[in-house]
Amino acid sequence: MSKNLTQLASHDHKMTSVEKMKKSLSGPGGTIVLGLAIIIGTSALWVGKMTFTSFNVYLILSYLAIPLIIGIFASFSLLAGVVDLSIGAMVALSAVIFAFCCINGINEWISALIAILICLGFGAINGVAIVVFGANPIAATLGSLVGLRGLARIISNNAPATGSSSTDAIPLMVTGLNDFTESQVSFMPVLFIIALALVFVTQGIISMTRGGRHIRAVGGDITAARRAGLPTERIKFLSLLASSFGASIGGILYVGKLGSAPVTLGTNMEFTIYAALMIGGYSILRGGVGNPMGGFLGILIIAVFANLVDNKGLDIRAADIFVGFLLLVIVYLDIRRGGDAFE
Amino acid sequence: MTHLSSSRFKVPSLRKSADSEYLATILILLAVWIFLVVISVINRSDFLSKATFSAVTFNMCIIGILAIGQGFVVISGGILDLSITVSMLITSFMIVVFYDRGWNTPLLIIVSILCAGVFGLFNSILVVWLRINPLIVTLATGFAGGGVLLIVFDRGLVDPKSSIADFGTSHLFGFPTAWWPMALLTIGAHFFFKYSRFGRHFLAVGGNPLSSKAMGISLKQMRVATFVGASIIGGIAGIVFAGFTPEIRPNAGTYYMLPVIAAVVLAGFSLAGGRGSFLALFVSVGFLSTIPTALVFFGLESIWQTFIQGFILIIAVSIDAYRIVKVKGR
Repeated sequence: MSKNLTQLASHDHKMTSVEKMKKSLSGPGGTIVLGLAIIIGTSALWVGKMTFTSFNVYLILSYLAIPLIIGIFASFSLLAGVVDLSIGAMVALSAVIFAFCCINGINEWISALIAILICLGFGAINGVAIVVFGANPIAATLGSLVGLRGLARIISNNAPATGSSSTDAIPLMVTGLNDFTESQVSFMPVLFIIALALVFVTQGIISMTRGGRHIRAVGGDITAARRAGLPTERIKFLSLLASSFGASIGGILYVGKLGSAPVTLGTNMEFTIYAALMIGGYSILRGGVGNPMGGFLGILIIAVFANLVDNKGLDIRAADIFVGFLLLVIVYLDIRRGGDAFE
Repeated sequence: MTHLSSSRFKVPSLRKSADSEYLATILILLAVWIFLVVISVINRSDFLSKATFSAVTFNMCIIGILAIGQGFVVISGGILDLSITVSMLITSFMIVVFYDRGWNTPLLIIVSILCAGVFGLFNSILVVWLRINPLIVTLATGFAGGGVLLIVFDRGLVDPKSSIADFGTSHLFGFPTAWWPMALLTIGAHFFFKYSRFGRHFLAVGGNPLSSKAMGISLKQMRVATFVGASIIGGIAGIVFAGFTPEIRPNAGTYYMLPVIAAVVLAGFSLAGGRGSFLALFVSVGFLSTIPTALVFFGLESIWQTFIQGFILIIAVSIDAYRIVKVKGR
């Protein structure tokens, strides 16, 4: 792992080992690993041995598996230079549609397909606004964030009553899906193994294939990419579809895991996931930077912190404050290294 | 200061064409607003009533003031202030805290607005000295600030016998008293940004930071003034909010964030900075504030409101972007 990150930070010319060390510590990889070491160290000192029990590790990995899947798909749009803030609402919408269809007696697979297709449809609306009309991605997807959350609530309110009086969640137990989301290999949840495999595959696609280079090119310098003859519009559009696809999968998996589809599912998730990805080296303001491996470590940092808060019985909202400040620190360090400063 | 004011620096004909462009925006928004009212009246003739008027004007109070603060940030090139509702809530909670300590009303209003100003100063320090993009700064401070408010204050109860609560429930010249600060701020902002030298500096910095810097305007000072000013305007919204909200909850801000941004974008403010009209903003706030009441008259549940507002924002930013592309002729 550390070898990989050193490679990321070092450049072509040969460096002495000390120089390499310094470089890797001051590079993006160094910041992430340092952050991870600090948070795990804090947890180890504060919570004690419990941090490293296999059950606790299972809890952390199970907590981060679904956000990791959503985050990896969302990272495509960050890389292409378009941020999609609607992923949290999309997770809720997909979950609610899936549960709504299942309750109305539609086969689970077809329900899942319907949920995914509807989310892709809204992803396409984002795409048309941003790519065709050239709308500011943050403002446009902020609109769909609020709009889609409203839609999720409308669907949830119109779901047939199933005994429970609350309209805030559609209870639904899909046995097969639940077994799948809860299954584990020793201390590793199966979902986490799948997510990790996805990280490696995406890492390969981004760094080694022509398509991956094209996405980075569009995000890095769209004018240059256009002049080089790349289909910039199509790449941005497809990357937005990818992020809504990831969110819809995440929503369905959450229904399996929770046994219900709450309308508040994924509230603030867009913020946490993008903060994690930015900690991992992505940027919501410029594309072309970051890699899935860093994104994974960023999500791991936040998951370990959430676990720490949980184990110490602290106010869960302390995590919001931590994430907010960590984001500022990381972005500031990036600017010190020569990242995009404001004016 | 010996340098030319930005308004003289610009070509006069350009300013004239900008004015007529704002007039077109205002007329289009007015037409859409009237259309909404007319179809609501055709649908239900009792739409034009005192209750509707009161609901719409109360909606306008908060959204209107916050939109002026947001418009201030946008027009000055600060992109967006995503923490402006936190400024509002800081002031509202401070009012409750100071009132419980028995402070007199003018003092507690000034001090609680200053608290919001300190929050804005914190934002601007991060933007100016650490050079972090305002969008990330305010996203983070909005999120962290919301977390702090939730931990420190569970809820704030406004004494219904206090003069603050009186202000929120009384009427003046046919409008709710709480409506007037918004109206006065709109007029003030219009004249400030159009005719005062300091106001033109904000527009210049928003339109073209580099050339305004070359003209001798201090970018740092303008950025600090922008974020502190926006937070103070958010603080004024906080006083109005405390006036008609008996029980203040720390998560109340999320309801306002979207309509505020939608109003600013609909009014033709360019997110790139340097362009926008506060009179158009007033009309777009009025239009957006009418939607919730109209929806109720159309028999739609109030939950439809967020869905529709979300897509109005998407359409508005698309039109805004399309207009810029057409002007630039990409």
